[in-house]
Amino acid sequence: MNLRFNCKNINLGNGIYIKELIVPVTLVGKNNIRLNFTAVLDSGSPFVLISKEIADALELEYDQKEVHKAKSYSGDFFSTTLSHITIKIEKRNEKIQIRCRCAVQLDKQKAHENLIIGSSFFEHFRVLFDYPNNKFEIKG
Amino acid sequence: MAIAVEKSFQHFLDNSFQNYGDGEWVAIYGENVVAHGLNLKKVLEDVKRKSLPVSAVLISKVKKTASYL
Repeated sequence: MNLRFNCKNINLGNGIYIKELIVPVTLVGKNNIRLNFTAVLDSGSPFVLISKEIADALELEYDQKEVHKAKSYSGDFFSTTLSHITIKIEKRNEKIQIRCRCAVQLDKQKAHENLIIGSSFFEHFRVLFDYPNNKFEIKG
Repeated sequence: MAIAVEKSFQHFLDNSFQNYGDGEWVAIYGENVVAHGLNLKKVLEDVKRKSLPVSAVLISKVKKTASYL
């Protein structure tokens, strides 16, 4: 099973472009609610991280009293709680689906990343970076 | 379903969504943004109000700055 994607080229202005590893995912929530999102792959993130808005749209069950403090790269703290999520990625005839732990970001922030696919996802796959060719591959 | 999302994802890759604000949610259906806004719940309600299949819509957030994760 190999899922191959093109990188997303993002224009920061002044002729500066960056590449990001973004995949289309289907998140499956309570009562089989299914929503499709773009998600950024980030092996440095310990869990899959989803915003509270997404968790609520999927009617995921989580305990707001069981709070875990998390820290962003900049050192800012934010509150999370842990849950589980089913993630499906498919392209043409290839498909992967796993259920893994996720962190729900409880603080309402205008964060740019709405959905980060972290190491709780990568435990199940290998990812090949091919930046010179503007591609990456998720291999089962 | 998957093919519809693939088409929407290609549109996402090909576009920078300059007409939308940084951090806005955009609902992409094929080659069109069918709803957008800062509140995800309202964006999803807009999609449903337009009688579009939510299962074929791809949701993303407009990004115009670099992120260091």
